[in-house]
Amino acid sequence: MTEEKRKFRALVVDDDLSQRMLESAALEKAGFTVRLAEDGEQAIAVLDKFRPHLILMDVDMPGIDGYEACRDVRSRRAFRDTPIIMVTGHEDSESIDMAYQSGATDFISKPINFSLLGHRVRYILRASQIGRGLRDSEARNRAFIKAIPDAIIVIDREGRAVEQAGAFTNAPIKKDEIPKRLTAKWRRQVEEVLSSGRAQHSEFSRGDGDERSFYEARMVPFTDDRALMIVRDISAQKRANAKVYRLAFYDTLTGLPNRQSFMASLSEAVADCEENSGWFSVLYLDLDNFKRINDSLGHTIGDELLKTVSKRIEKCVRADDFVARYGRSQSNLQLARLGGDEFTILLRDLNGHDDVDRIAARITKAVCEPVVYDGREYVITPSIGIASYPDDGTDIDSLMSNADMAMYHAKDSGKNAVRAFSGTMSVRSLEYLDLEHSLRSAINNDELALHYQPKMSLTTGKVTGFEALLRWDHPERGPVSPAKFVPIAEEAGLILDLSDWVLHAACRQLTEWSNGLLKGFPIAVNLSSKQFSHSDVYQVVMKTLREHSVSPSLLELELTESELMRDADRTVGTLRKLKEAGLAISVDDFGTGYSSLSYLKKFPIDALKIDRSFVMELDDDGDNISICGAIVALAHSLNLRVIAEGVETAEQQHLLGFLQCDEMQGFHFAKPEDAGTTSRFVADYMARDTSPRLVKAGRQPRKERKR
Amino acid sequence: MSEPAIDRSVLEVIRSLQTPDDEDLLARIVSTFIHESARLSQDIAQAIDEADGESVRACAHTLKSTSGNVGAHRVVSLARDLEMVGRSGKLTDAGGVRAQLQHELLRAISELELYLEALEAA
Repeated sequence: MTEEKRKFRALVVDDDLSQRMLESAALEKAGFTVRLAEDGEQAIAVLDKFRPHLILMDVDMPGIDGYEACRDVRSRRAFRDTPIIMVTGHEDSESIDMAYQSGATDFISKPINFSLLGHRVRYILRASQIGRGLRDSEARNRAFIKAIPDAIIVIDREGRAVEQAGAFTNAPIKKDEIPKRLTAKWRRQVEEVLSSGRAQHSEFSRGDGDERSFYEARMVPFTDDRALMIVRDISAQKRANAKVYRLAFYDTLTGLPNRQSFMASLSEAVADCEENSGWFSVLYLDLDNFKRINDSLGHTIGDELLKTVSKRIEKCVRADDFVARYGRSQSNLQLARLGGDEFTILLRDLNGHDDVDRIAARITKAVCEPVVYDGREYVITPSIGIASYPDDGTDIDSLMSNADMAMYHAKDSGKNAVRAFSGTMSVRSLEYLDLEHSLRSAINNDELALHYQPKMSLTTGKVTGFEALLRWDHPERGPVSPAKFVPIAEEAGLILDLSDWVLHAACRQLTEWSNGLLKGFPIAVNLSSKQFSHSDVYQVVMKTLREHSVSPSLLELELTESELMRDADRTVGTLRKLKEAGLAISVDDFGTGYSSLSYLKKFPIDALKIDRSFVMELDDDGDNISICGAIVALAHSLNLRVIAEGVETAEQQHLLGFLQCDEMQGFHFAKPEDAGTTSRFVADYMARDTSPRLVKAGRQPRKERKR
Repeated sequence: MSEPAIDRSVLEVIRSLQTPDDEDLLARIVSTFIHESARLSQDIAQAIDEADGESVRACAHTLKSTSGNVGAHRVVSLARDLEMVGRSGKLTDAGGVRAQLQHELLRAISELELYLEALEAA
């Protein structure tokens, strides 16, 4: 609706009737809809209903006067901006001042020129509407500025923040908080912005540490000699970026640099040293038995221990005396956590390898200090391997793997040790070390098991006993052959632990079987020569039997031919004692070694086990039939039983029976299985008629048999 | 007194405000003036008798305004005098001024009536 056509409402307030009539007539003539009020109270009473666009108010009225009525109207939100024209009969300036103070928009003095009143009032109304439009627009701008999360600051040519738009409360920065050090920068930017007319971008920060805030500033031309700067707080964004960086290059548990970060430092060190023909060392640290701590105590404690240990290492690396001595920056000594319980340390610019050793020793000492967590004490030891550029490698991969290998050798030497890499450490030995390392834990972690293979009498078809066979199910590698791990155990000094474990396991099984169907069946265990060279083997065996209350007659010991011969004199003595105690002794893998018959006679043995290699080719090889026959004849002449190993076919069994072999074991009869499966097999077998398995060859069971 | 009691241009303005819906605005204004001024003059006399300066001032103020609206400039002038007398509170001369005002008032009324008659005749 245009202003001309719109009917504006005017409220005329005057106690004088003729005055009201004239004012009303003049305003109606000017196109207003007029409402009359005789006094202030009446005027206020009709306000909300009439909603005037303009009020013509007499000053001098009975009751509340015009000033008071004016103030009342102004106090109402809906009429805050309604033009009020005060009609005053007093020409003095005092009453005019009072009119304005009361909130009047304008005033008219009596006597009124009624012919002009309409124009005058229309003019005042229009002016007030323009004013209101301006105020509305300003209010909108204020709202916009308030809604923008930026600070809008006016900068003068001197680089000073002279003005700030909007309420300061929501602004991310107040103009007086802009650091003064930036004044020169703003001065240059203002010049640039004002001369080129193009916006300028920059970033700045304020405060320190956690209080530090980051800002992005955009400067645009404003007036001839001022620029407008829009400042946005980008602290959250900066912190998010920093967090992403930390996640990518730092370990979240310890806050140390991670593998990626360490590799970057390492290649930097390589590049530097290539140029300056310098050197540096990499320490590879692994916590001994940490996996066991994690597995048995849980990751919470494991993590706490890792944090404590990493702090200790860090303290060693950053120790003041080293820093003071070399005045180095932190980048020369980088500690990182590769993951799990592995840490690496880069040592650069040291005076000599002695210093590397000193730091390694210091770390070892610090890590070994007991850690108290939740009232309990834990002792963790480190194994440290050292590889140095350029002697032990000139690229990061070889340096890392050589330090790693040196670390394994440190573990090999009994853990809690430091080893520097040397060329004799090979990759093969690394695998060997790894197996050895796992074998140690296997003995303690129940990864080992005994399987049992039944032996059968070839004359009666009855089960005569079992051979216990050691099995190792490696958690990562799967089953590992005893042929592979037994030599490792022997070399690593683990064979005694291993044999000990086997003896106990066999005795436990004998005890378990002593109450059922398998009562009285002996179990044969394999002993290594290392154990026989151990003077205490007799004591160990007897003690184990006693511990389990197992009769010595139920335990058979098997030794290979070569083992028997290795330290024959000493072995004979031990075997005699064992035999006297009631144990049976057999020679394993017979036929593969170079047995001296005279020695064989000296040994107090009960049986020979024909090596499987002869048995396997028994079917089609006449030589093997002769060899087996010769072994049986020899054994019988020495009053020894003969047991054939590795029997896989009925024909083999038949031939062995024909050759008067006493017993057999092999897949043809039964595979080695765990105790449960084996006992079920034997129970089934005993329940069946065994006659078909009997050998028809007419041979009488030997009556005299040494046991 | 040859000087007219009424400024006819004021009456012309009032006439110019008249619309077809409101043809007797001037007549009503004059009629209102006659009644109001008579009452106010009466009230002023009484207030002077009662030595009530404030009432004298208030009534004179209203009379000044009302008579101004019909162009009775002599009455306006005398009402202003009385207004000041009333404000000062010294009412000794008030009776004399009020007598003059009454005289001018009557003159103004008779002139207004003549003016209206002339209009009606036209």
